[in-house]
Amino acid sequence: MLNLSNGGGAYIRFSPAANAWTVSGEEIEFSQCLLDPSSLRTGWGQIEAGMAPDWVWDDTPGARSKAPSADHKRGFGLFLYVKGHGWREWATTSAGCNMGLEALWPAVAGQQAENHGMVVVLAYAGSTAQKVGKGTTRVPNFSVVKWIADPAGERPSMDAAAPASAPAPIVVAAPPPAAAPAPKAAPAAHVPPPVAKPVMQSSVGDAEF
Amino acid sequence: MSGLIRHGFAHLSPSSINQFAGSPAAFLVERLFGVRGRGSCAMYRGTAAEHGIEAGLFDPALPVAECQALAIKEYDRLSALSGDPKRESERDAIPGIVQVGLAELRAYGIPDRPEHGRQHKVSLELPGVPVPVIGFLDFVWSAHGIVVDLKTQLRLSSAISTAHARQGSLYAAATNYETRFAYTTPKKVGVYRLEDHQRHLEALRRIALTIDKFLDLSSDPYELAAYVVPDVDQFWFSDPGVRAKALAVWGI
Repeated sequence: MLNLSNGGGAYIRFSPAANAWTVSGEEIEFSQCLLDPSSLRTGWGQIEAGMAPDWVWDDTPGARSKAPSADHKRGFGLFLYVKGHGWREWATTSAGCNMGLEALWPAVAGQQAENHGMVVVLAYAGSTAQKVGKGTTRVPNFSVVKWIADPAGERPSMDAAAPASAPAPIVVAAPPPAAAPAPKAAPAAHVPPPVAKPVMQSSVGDAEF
Repeated sequence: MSGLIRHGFAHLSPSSINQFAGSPAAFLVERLFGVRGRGSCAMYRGTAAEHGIEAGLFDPALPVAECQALAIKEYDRLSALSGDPKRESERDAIPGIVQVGLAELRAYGIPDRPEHGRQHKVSLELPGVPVPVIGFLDFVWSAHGIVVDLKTQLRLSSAISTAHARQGSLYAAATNYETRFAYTTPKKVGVYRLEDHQRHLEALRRIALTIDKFLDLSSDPYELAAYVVPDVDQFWFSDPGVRAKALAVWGI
């Protein structure tokens, strides 16, 4: 009756710890959703329970700005559309969420130019537990189904502050091991560009009148 | 029945063949268990630099600075959420690679336009291999009878690697053109002609036959896994997801 729950009504969240998606504090399930790739923002977020998240967004997505503080972590924000819940902002610094979107993004970015102004239908196939460093997380698994015209539903304001729920554990991924050395081969000689074939001069048209 | 067909392979590629030769376990993880590593920033660097060089080759009047900007924009899109610690250093290399690459390859003239997409697809049937081997060519100059495959690096290779030679042998056999590899770094370029492509093509074929025989051992990927072991220090296993699957399958 007092409606004291943390609604965060414009948001959708994935909790790796609970392996659950929530909207307005209620768990939801979906197998497909829409993603608006033009809404992607990357940046630094400080998310602490009971406080509004503090985000410092990059000037352009992917162009990493300087970290505002040691308490800020890399993350992203973008719009997802889930049937029955409309467009919701998914903003997170969770390592598992970062990894999930990072796995999806090359496909989305690679197809974006030829699908300008459209949104992408994603299939959601659950999440995968993953050990990262000394901790564990869950990585949401998305794949591209197709591109469609934007349903043009109302987007919530991306700058609306909402109290954050307890953030998922943040783990630092271990650096990848050094690549195996390339096999040695005898040095090769540089080959210069081919010589341009001379253009045959035609006698037709050279006559003077 | 052919092992390749039994496991649903419609084709092979130099990439999958080289992967099997390098690590049959990694081949199983990606191609049968379906766990694919996320792209590395080195891969994004190559894709992005090629994007900028391609723009400058098809439009010789386009200023190099614009080609560099296109490449950087493509890199930023692909790597937007990458946690790769080399993200910035790979990005920093792109403008130099585009400049050096264009300085060398613009002298070849304007390359042929692919019929579809951004690359020229080729397909080759190899004797005894039940599925075709397909590949994609970066740049073709039919006027010169030359195919050039662009390889971006941070340090210049002094020769064509064995894996690249196998890749190039497919191109040479499919087109009858001379195949060259343009190894391009931010400071210099080495363009090397592939020699003796028939020998490398035969190696490609023999590895493909081995893949077929191996896959024919069983329909069960877990049973196939019992015949190989992963070397988890290899770069094939640097992705956490791939590494986790290897641990789950082999306990290593």
